[in-house]
Amino acid sequence: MTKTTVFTARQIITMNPSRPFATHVAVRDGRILAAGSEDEMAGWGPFELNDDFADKVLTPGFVEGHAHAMEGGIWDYTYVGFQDRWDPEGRRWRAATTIDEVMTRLKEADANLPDADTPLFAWGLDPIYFDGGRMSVTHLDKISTTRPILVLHSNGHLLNVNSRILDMAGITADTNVYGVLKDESGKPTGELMEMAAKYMAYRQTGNPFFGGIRTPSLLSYAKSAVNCGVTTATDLFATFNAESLAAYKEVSLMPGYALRLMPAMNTIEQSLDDGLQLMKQAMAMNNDRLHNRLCKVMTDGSIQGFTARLKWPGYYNGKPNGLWNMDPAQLAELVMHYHKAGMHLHIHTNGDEASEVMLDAVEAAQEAHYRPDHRHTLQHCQMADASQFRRMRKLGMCVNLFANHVHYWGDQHAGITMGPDRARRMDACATALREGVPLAIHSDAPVTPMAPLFTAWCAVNRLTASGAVLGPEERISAAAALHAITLGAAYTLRMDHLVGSVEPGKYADFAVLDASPLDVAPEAIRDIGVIGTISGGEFHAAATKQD
Amino acid sequence: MNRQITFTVIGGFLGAGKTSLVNRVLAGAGDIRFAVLVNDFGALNIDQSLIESQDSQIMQLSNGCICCSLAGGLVDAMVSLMAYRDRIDHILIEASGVSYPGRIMDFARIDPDLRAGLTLVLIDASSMPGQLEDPRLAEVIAAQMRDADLFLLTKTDIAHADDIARTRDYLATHQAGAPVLTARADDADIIDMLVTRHDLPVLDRSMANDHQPHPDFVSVAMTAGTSIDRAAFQDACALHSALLVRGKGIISFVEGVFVWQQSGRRTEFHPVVSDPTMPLAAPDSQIVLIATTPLDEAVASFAALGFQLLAPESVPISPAR
Repeated sequence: MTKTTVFTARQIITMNPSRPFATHVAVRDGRILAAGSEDEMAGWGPFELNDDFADKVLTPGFVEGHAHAMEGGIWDYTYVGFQDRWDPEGRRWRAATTIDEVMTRLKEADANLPDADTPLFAWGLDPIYFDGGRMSVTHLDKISTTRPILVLHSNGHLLNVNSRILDMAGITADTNVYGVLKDESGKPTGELMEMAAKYMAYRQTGNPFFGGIRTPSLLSYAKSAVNCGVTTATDLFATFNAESLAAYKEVSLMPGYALRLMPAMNTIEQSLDDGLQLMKQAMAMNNDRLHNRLCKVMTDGSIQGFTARLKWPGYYNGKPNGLWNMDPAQLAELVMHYHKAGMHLHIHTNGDEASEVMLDAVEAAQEAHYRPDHRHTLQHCQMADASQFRRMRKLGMCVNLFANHVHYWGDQHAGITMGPDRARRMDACATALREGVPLAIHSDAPVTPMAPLFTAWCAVNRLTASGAVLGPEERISAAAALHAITLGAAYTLRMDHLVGSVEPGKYADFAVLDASPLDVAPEAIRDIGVIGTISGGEFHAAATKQD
Repeated sequence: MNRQITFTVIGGFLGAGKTSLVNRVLAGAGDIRFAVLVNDFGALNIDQSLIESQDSQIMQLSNGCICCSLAGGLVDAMVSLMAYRDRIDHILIEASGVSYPGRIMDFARIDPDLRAGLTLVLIDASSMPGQLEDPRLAEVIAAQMRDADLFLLTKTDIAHADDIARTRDYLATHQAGAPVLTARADDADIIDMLVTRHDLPVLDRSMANDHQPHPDFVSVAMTAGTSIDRAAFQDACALHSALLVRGKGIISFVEGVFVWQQSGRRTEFHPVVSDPTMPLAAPDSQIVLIATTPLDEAVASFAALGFQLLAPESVPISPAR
């Protein structure tokens, strides 16, 4: 007879409406046998009691519906963002809140490189916080003029480079190309934006941030997940090729791999027919820890990068409308094709015009090929208004809102991109729930840190970086936020029959916390400690946070 | 300076014929080693037996051409492609329908290994009126109007007369200086003239032989025996750019001898270095002008600079029928 383990905890929040709370949960064969009191476990036969977490709180393992496995590998490069971050090993990367602090980080990284020519790559720079201060070639040349230095901004649209790269690329005061930013004297500042200028930099160094996922990143990604209580995570913009599919499969079969992975194939990397073939091939690899099913569609850019597609009246500061990733007609054709083939689409839309185009596309697809339960999900969907949420509900769609954005860029949205009125409805969790749209919330890691409790805190409090409450009417309860990072997210991934709640038959996946998100003060949700996760009944300890 | 790779951008919405055009370029490549960057390998007409090697991003053909997938994005595709730069003469980008052609041509403006070639925008006459009414496409259409050196109006065989007229009206009023050619996107003569054979050397009067006679075109050849004022010549090019589908020649300017290439709105001069293999006659300047409508006004402008019309019988090119 197989072994039964009963975990006991101070409290188990099940998200199961028939039994919302329990003190014991029985696990057999990696699945949940029953939850309840100790007495109620007895009828299942002999069991081993595990009281390691007797003073802890268990919740369903968190489900991260929009993140990227690159979060695992990006720590090979130097982080210079505005907030503290912890890498998968628990090492703290201190915030760089001024250009001087960015310089300090880069100097440390420079000292750790073996010779004078190895390129130094850094990421996460966000000068939007620097009160107008910009990083320039002068700064980076103080680090080194012999090795190429390339710093990617957090919005992904800009790069800073040193004079070594400018020289290699032949970029001078005489270079008159859009995207090569210059100072008053006409010299290149080392800030490069738009495709051509970035191409010229990456031609010299290669693009370290590009390419399909590999095993080491996926191993680190699982560690990051354990550290924040996540047991199911997407890799929501995945290049599907022989190497990446082999890597997903390899880690998913490794004993002790702590994550259930849900890669979403980038649909524009191959023709429509090839895409379906690839999905078939990928789905044939599925196992308990690998759930290939999702297809990703990109429509527009980002709001803070002014590349999102907006309806009237457009950007608050008068910037021109953003960029389509693909012709809207072509996007509609793509949606139709994958919808007809029974695939599950996760569609990136940031601006409200992009959301509208995709609502139209799904409506046309439903009219042509009705599917009662497709669960196509708008991802980010940051500007949707109430009428768009109503259409989502009617069309059977789900939404995964980028709640972290409210904290990280909410002040900029109110002041620069959207204006104070529209910014109130950004990532409108309360409206989504009011209008009956199945809701998840996400981090988009590595854009912001993967940490569902932090994401829940954002949705509950809507506090911006400056401490303002952005759109108090869109705040949701702690219970609703907890649902959005567990069962709600699972529903958008068509995994709600397997994960997202503590119910018999589901995978024995839990987050082990030191407090209940339902009991602490709303503003303290993000401070709850994550002890680790239980995945398929096996405990994985979170890395000790180091300084 | 190192050998430069010509860089051509093909813009236009889905369905305008970009893939047909790319297929025609590959079919007519001859000795020119093209690298085409396309959204979808599958749409190309490539004989399987020609494929020498293929991975998910790059396909090498036995005739020397390379096909490269744009799926991972243009920046990374170009970085990967330039690893093969010694094996490439000409890069052709099949731009996505919603990209701004000028932003792509910036690659050639910033990279000294590239030489900015033609920005050709294909306009589907049957779909353009509808696209004009779609506010979601307004910025893209504005960029097409701004960035194109030359427009190819396609699908006029299936478009309603009203739609063709509306499209022509729009082009006439929303852009200036770029000719509008009406043709199928796979018209071999036109694609060869504009893209495939565009870079063939311009050596002497027989350059007119570079172009097969085409029923839709008028051509004239002019010659001058005195040095030409370059600024005035450039002004004349700009003045008649909407008329000149192609112009090419060898011109003795005061500051030296230059090869001149004109494709619609794009004017290009290259200094002729003294090279014994270049059988340059003398200070004589020779030019050929090609258009779809009579060239009288352009001829008058160039005549004012010192050019004389060569007698038609001395020009081995067919007049318009």
